[in-house]
Amino acid sequence: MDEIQKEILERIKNKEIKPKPRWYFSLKNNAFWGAFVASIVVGSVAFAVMLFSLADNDWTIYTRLHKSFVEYFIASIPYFWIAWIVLFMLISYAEFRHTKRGYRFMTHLVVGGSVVLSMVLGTGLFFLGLGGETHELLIENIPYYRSFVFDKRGTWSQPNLGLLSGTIRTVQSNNQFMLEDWEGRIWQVQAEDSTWHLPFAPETMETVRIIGEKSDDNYFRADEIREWNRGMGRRRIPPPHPSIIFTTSTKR
Amino acid sequence: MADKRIKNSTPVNHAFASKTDEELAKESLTNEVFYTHLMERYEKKLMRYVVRLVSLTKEDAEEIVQDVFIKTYRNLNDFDPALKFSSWIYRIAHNETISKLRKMKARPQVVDAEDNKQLEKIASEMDAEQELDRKYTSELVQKSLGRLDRKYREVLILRFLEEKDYKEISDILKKPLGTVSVLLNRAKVKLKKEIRNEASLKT
Repeated sequence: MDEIQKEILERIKNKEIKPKPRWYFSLKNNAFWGAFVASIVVGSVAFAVMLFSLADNDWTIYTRLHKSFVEYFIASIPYFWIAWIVLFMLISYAEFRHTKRGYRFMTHLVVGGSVVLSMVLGTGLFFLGLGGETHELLIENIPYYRSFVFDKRGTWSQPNLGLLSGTIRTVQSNNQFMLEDWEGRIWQVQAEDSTWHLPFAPETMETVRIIGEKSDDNYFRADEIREWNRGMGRRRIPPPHPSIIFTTSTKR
Repeated sequence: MADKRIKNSTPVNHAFASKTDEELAKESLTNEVFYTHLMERYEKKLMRYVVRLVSLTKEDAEEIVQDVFIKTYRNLNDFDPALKFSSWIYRIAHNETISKLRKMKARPQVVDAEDNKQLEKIASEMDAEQELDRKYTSELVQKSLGRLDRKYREVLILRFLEEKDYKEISDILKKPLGTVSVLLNRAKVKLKKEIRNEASLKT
């Protein structure tokens, strides 16, 4: 045994150095795996909300907004959620690389794997309705969230351009109902010869979006009435009276 | 008890000698005496590696190697049996050396290689041997290695001076096998270029 070895043994004995326990390393490794899984889950939720934003968009109304399709398409891209997906993809990559054998995998395999995982899981969550639910939850509870995503309310609050939205308050007849818009203004909506795309009865006081024409102050003639959030990617709550559901595209 | 066994009989030392590094590492968890045998096996190797990696005084290198052994001892439970023990301790030595280097002021790199044959072997790998005057070969390779970026230098040192295979280099540097292969190829090209530049300066 030479001097260096003696010195090391002395240090070990004098400072009472002991090997760290096995559980410490297991915990550390599992923490990285946990963080990796968590970042994949968050990335998947972000992907589900992104899918919801795309599926919920009305790709046909750009003419009413006096925009080209390209302009409208660029404005509709959910950049906020794409940024979140990229962020959590990078986080998941970093966490994976810190796991015990994570370094053995090439970057493109890890990144590609986490993207595919997030997409598959995210698509599943989207069809389960979690994308829409999360979006609505954030709209209701997180200040300024709306300013980071496509301004759907703003887009559908332009009666002069034929776009109106709000909650049905009173159904007066088959062709007429009162609607309260997002600012609390009450509109008299005429729905003669209009197409209804509602999976629920108007009497359920749901939120809708309407394409039509402003005929006078607080008067709006509806051509098409759609539910505010499209069914896809949103958990559907069964209406109280299934017998009065209007089927898609039913003329009234 | 192990202490007694070591002091009293030679056959026990034979028993230590027949144990693999991995077995000694496992035994060291319960008795630090086993650890001295691991230190014996690796002290010189690690000293040489540390000095090759970074130009250091003997004292600095000894300090790093001591820290490496202490760190290795503390982390024995983290040793992954899927690796070779040598890859794991080289990894710790690599990280400690780089960390020490960051703390110290940058100094010119001269790759230390006591055996000229190893440097000539690198030259032959670069197909540069024939182009060079044999007596200058070792000196040129040594100087050229020192001029390379650290990422290229360390991979060449591990491959040609420490004679590690790709898998071991991957485990030491914590890089995927493919990346090691790419790095090594690039490093060879860079080194060949450096050797040529150096040789043209000589002539």
